[in-house]
Amino acid sequence: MRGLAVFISDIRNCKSKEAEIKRINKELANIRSKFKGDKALDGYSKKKYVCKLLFIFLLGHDIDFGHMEAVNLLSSNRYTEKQIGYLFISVLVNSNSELIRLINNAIKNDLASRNPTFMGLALHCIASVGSREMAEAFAGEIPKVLVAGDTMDSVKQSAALCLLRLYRTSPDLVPMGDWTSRVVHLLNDQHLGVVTAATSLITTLAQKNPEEFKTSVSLAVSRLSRIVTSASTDLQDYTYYFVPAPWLSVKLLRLLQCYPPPDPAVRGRLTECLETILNKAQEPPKSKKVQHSNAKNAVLFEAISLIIHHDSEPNLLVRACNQLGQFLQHRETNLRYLALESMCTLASSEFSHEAVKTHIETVINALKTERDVSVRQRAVDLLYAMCDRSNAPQIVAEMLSYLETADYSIREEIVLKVAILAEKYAVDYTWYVDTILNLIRIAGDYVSEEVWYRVIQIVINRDDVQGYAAKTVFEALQAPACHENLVKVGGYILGEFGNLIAGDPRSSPLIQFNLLHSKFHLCSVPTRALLLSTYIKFVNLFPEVKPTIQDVLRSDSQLRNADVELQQRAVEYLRLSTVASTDILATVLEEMPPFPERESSILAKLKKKKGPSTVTDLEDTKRERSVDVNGGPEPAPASTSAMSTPSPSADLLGLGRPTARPHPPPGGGLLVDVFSDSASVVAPLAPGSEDNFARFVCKNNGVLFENQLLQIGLKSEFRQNLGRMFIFYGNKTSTQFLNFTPTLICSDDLQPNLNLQTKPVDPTVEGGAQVQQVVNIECVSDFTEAPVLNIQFRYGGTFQNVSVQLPITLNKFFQPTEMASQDFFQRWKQLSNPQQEVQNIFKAKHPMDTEVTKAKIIGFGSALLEEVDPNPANFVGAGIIHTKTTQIGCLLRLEPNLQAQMYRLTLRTSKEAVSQRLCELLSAQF
Amino acid sequence: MVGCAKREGRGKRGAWAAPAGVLGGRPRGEPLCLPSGPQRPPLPQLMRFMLLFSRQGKLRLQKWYLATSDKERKKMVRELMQVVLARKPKMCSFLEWRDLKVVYKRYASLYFCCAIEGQDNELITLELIHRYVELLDKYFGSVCELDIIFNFEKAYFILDEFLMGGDVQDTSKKSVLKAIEQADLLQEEDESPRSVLEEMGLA
Repeated sequence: MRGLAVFISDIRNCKSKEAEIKRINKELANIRSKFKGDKALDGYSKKKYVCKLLFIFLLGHDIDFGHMEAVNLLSSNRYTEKQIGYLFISVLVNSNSELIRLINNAIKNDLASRNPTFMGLALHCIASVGSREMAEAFAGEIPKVLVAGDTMDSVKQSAALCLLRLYRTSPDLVPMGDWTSRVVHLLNDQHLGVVTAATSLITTLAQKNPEEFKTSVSLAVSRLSRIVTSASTDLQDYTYYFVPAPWLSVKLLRLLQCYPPPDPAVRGRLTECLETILNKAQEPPKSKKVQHSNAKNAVLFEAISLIIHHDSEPNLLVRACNQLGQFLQHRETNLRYLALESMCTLASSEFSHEAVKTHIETVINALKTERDVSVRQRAVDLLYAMCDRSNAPQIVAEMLSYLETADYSIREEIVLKVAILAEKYAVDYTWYVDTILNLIRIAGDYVSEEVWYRVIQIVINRDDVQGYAAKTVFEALQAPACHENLVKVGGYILGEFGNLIAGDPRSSPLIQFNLLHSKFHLCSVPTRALLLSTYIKFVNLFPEVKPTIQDVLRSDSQLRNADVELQQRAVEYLRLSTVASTDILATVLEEMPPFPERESSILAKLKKKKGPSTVTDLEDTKRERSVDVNGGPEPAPASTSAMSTPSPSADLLGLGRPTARPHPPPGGGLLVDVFSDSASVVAPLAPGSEDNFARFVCKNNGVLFENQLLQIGLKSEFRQNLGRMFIFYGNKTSTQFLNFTPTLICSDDLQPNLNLQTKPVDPTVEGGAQVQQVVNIECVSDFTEAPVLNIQFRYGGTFQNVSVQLPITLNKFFQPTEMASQDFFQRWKQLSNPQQEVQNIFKAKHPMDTEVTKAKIIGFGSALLEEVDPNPANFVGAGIIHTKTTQIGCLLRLEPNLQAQMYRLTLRTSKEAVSQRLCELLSAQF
Repeated sequence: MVGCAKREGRGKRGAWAAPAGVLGGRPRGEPLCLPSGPQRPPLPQLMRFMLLFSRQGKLRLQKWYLATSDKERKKMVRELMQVVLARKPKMCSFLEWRDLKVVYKRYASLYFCCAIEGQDNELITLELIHRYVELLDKYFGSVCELDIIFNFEKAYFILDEFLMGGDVQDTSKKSVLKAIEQADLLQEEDESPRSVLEEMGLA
């Protein structure tokens, strides 16, 4: 395509950005006129222009036309035209549904063409776009292509990966069936390319359906065994720099990580494979090329992952550890990085923990000498993982000294880790106090609230360390410049335990007070507030300094402070010190009671930072291993709660405001009209949403939606025509959700009948956190549809969009009405107008259990009337639907037929639409 | 955030002034569904995206394996290029970036950069980059940046033969190149010779 080459060189010759834009605009105008022109373009020109558009797009410019021409190219018979068409479509994925239909048509034709190159292009396009519409159209078709006997190998490979992609995005649309067993047998295929592609697919499927794919284990082991024992030339082109089929080996080892260790027979063979892989690492390299060692080690690291995953062969674990130990000193930075990373997981296995510990010096050395911060970061992680009581003092000391020069990006994490280790493995709490004070001295800015809260919790709870703590903070405060965090800790501790050192004339009450007060003016408002509390505590502890303190409190800078909190404290404390008797003062200003033991606030913080899974695992395994963990402030079992503990009040008297304030809702809680232009595209309802919705018809609480990222729980209550629903959004990941925006959507039909009000939630949802949203509900008039809850947020780099139906149904506004048999039948007869009755006869979907049925009718909201129906097997109910405008009386009768496993449900209400809707809702419950 | 805001004027706002009273207080107790810890099963390797860019920070090729909005793509590319270009030679080829792991390698003036997930195999990804470079090299005959600029569509075709949906499709150099050569043969059959004028769109 000469024209394209000319255009590209023109662009390259542009001297400035402006010139480039000018040239591009000229080209765009040209292409636009060609596409619009009367003369039909031939395929070649179309291809050329589409390719130019693609180039312009890849330069970073927006392209808003040409899609149609690209779609036209798809149906060309010429391969290259088709190919460019598909390339354009897969690069400029567009969810324009009109186009998707046309694209799907073209794909359908190509899939049916039996031309392997065309089929390959079509499968590629499906995998690239991977949208739900495509999954709907092709998820049923592709398995057939995959297992058909006459499919070419190359097409099989594409089909396997294409199906994998669809399964990842829309697992519900990929039907399981006969084909699954045949897919497993692709592991035995002659063609290694087919095996490679199929292994990925099987691994993903096995993850969700382990039982169905169980046979893949032995097949994978024997395939792996054949590969690792083959001579380097056996596999021809699948040998990569003398390493036989490294990609396939890695994939097979990964597939095996979906399962526990296999049965003894297979297990023996697998162990042999793993040993062979470990042995090969010791052999002299067959090539000096880095590709050879990389490929070999890729397999080795994956094998070690499997060994760690099985965690059952001590021999293999220790060998793995020794191998990684060698890599720790390798000249390749990459290998050192990976060895540190891999050893972290080994450290948590009881079999290899000791072996990992032997490498402590090397790891400490890495911390000091590695030039790459990402490697040093791994070293910190590993030190943290290998720490136990025997080496804690050394590791903590090394981390502290590293902290002085550490990169700013990792300081906070190191601070947290040091604080946790110091607490966890403290034999002697004086060491703990020293460590934390050092931490504040070295990296005060990175010491988060949680860290200094925790040191205070511990000092308060352990009386053996209180005197030492008071003495140490007093000494630390002598430094001319000390960090504000130290002032906080010092203020709090001296306020509580200053009396323990007051006997020493060098730290007499007045000296203590003057020392603290010398820092006062340099501190921020919260710290000053804390110091004021310390002063009033001093009034109680040391009556002799009372006049001095009262003078301070009385000064204009306190009593008339511009800050309301400080002013209030000054006024109240001054008053308290003047009016209260010594006894009352002593009671009010008593020493703080011990803090209830709970999960360490710092651990919670680290979890938040690093993701709960990593930290929790480490902690749990360690706890099992060492029984001698500290009795006192041991963190509660980490699994009990993933939520961070409330911080102890930073205020000695607990008078102050809460330390952490919720963010004010942005936009002042204004209602946002979702029907305005700004409304973004709403995702189709999530799979399974219908089922979940039905479950909520008869109950008010539970989990409405759950995927890998997000869990939505509901709690609701209704009275008459009003209701309130609490929606809980749980972030299941360790990463924060950004721009988190839940939106309630009522269709035009629903809107006049149902009134929903809520406030926006905080747009950031931290990893592992849960946020709550309250929806106030008013039923204005009877309604049929349900509102939709749409949630949009960013997770990692990707935009997430979920929609679920919100189970606000008409029956929620039911008030049960008790009535006698006679009344019931009288009213029943009154509602005999044919429009008032709706009847449904349907097959039971659940076992026909009387008690369950009763519970459902009550859950539905109506009263269950006993001894009304002459036939005791039948159920009758009555109630009133409350809406703002009217009240609608409802009677219902449910007649089960056990033999036929059928029900007949009859609803009579004064309004046809209500009868209809209630009947629909209730029928779905049985 | 509520759909019914339109009719706020008609609805009685006052009725909502004290819903707590109407409903008799808040539900008691903790939120009912605590999120369970995330699980990290060893999924098969899935690349999130691959980028090729020059030392000057010009993007030469981008392939995304997970639907990402255009705006987000641009932001990620900009950010990642900055991070990678700032790294010194001899540094480790892996880095943690956002919630992903980035594996990169520099070949002459071009950086090849893949984003994978945390537990994926870094070394095999590094070799995947190398194999792709080998394929380009073999096809273009000692490939250089210009080849990729002028024949970007070919670079895409080769990548597509090698990777699909972020996973390796075939690791055999021969099979991949055979497929590409076949396509080229088809192209030659397709293309009847054209005059220069025709090419320029003047005919």
